Amino acid sequence: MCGCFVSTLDEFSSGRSRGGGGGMADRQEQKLKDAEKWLKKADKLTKLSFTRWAADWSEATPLYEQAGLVYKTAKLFEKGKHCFEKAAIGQERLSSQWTAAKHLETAGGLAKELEAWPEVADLYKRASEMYMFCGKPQPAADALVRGAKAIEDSVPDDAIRMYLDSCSFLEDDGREQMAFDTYRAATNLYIKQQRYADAASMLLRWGQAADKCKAIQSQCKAYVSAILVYLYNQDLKAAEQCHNDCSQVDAFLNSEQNQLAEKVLQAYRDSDGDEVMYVIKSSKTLPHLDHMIVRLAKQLPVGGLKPVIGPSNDDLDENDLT
Amino acid sequence: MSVIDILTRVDALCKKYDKYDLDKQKGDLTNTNGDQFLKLYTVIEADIQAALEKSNEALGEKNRAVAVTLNAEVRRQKAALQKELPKLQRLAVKKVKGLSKEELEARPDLVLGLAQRVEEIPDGTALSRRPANGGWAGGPRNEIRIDVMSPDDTLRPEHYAETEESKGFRSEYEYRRDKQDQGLDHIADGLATLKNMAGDINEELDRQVPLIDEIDTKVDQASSDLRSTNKRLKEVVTQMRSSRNFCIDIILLAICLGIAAYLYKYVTSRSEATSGVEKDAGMQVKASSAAGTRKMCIPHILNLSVEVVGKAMAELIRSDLYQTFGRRRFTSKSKCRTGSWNVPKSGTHFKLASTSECEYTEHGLQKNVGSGSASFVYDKAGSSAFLMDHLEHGICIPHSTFRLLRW
Repeated sequence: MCGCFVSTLDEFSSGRSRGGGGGMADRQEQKLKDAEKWLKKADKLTKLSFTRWAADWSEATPLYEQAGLVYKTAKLFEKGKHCFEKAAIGQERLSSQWTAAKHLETAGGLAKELEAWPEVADLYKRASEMYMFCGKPQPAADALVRGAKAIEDSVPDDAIRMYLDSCSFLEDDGREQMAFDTYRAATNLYIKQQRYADAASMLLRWGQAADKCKAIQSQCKAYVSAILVYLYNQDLKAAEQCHNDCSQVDAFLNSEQNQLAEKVLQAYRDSDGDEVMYVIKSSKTLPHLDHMIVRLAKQLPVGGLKPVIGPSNDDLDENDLT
Repeated sequence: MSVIDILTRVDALCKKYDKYDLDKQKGDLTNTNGDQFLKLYTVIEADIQAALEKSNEALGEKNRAVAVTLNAEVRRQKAALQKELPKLQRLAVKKVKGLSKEELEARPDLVLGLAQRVEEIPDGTALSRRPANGGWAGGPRNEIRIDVMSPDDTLRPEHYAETEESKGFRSEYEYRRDKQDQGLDHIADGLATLKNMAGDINEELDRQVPLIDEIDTKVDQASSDLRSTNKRLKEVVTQMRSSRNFCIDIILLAICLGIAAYLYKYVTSRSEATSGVEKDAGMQVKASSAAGTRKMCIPHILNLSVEVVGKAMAELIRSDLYQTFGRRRFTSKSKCRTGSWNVPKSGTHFKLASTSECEYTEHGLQKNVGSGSASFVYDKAGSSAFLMDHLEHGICIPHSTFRLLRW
């Protein structure tokens, strides 16, 4: 693969023919030298100076691209990122936003290796803007999701924001079905951050999106997951409310997931921890939910079974009627 | 197959097809000749045999359904036989001709024996007359009596007590039921997973339908673009190779070929000239000798042959002699010796030398008249001079120079 890179770049280099010369290291070095050359040349072409009144982007952009590729394969991330950014600017000037966005995404990927998180976020956001400019919300959303995934471990807030933006892009476009994965990722991130209320609200949003595209199974799963998250959050009232709301939907009302929800809520109302555990364990539909939710559900009664209104976290006191 | 086997098989076949044997039937009839008792007796006995066989079959049958049907048949037959028995009894007391007293008395006993045999045929419901003890639920070993319960039975307290068999039966039933439940649970789990997967697949496919439609339209667009581009390309190419341009191409080609042909001809004609002289030399020498002219063509440089030179010289000398001495009869013999060719590279001419000896004998005289040698000087410029030097001995032949034109 390096060989064919080299052969395609040959036409730009000035008459070099290092065929079966040294080993891989030599070739690598040679390529790096070439990349340096191209980079310098491109910089010269684009830097405005006394003799040059207008930057020649059409020449410079391919050079930047090639240099960037070489750096990427050689794992020199900083330089590669720099090259790709410049290449993206070039493409923008050449009014080809699509390619520019692609380069920005690559640059973002390299920045992720460098762990320069703000830059990563910034690059991906720019990329997504370019995609939107081209009139393609789908790739824009995808770019945001990728960016969010890149930074979710380190800067979760930004990641969340990116996820939400991505979801709104798709919702506006009417293509919610593509957003399911995004919802799932956002929910998982919330749960990891232990922001359960937000997670539940995200799940409800997911359910709404599923309703719009008639994905009944996903919808029911989302609703039941929301109820379970509320319960895990020890918020029985909210869970009940949620259940009431969701029961308005016919599809959910008649589903297996609803049965599970009802059983669990009933057990909670009876304040019977064992019953809750039994219901969770013997349920057929629970294992098919998202694995994070399943993990929460398995801990459910242990997560603090309270009587209907009561703040105690201990095991249940059946005589407590407050 | 041994003889015994054959005999047994024949017996079996005969027995099977006895009923078709009219003679035998008539024989039977004549045998029993009005003895209705015997007839009926034999018939009943045969039926009893058949019923016994069937009941044996039923006992050995593992399939309960088949066993039940067989038992029912046996029971039916028993009932029919029991109906026949009173008839037999009535016949038994009738007096028949040709029958001894003892036999007559024995007949009712026979009838009774027959009746007992009929009773004894096991039909699957026969139970030994036990006291009504475990009437409620017999175990699988003992058949359950459903129809032998009397109202008194229910009043007795042991009626509802459990026997060993009933306990065992109950536990087995429950064990089997639990097993079934387990299996059904397993199946239910699998089905739930299947349902879930199917639902997910359904949603995924729904998601992909619009994407594929988009791909479809885009690909259609791309292919139509490609087609139109191809067509235009074809047009351009055909235009480039149109007939007008084609003719121009041919004309130019013809011109080139013409030039080449001209050059070729030029080269070849130069070579022809030199080779043509050689042939002319031979011919012209004869012509000159005949006509007395002194013109001779010089052969081509490279195709010079010694004989020609020698002969030419000989003829020349002879003509000279004729002129000098008149037409006397000379015979000449000429011997040619090979000469040496000097072909100087850089010169405009070259020298060929050849000598030839000619013996001229005057008529009657035998005298070597002379010999001569000639040298050619060939001028490259296009004409040539043919110089001939005669060196003679004895006879003086004037030196003569011939200038011959070439082609």
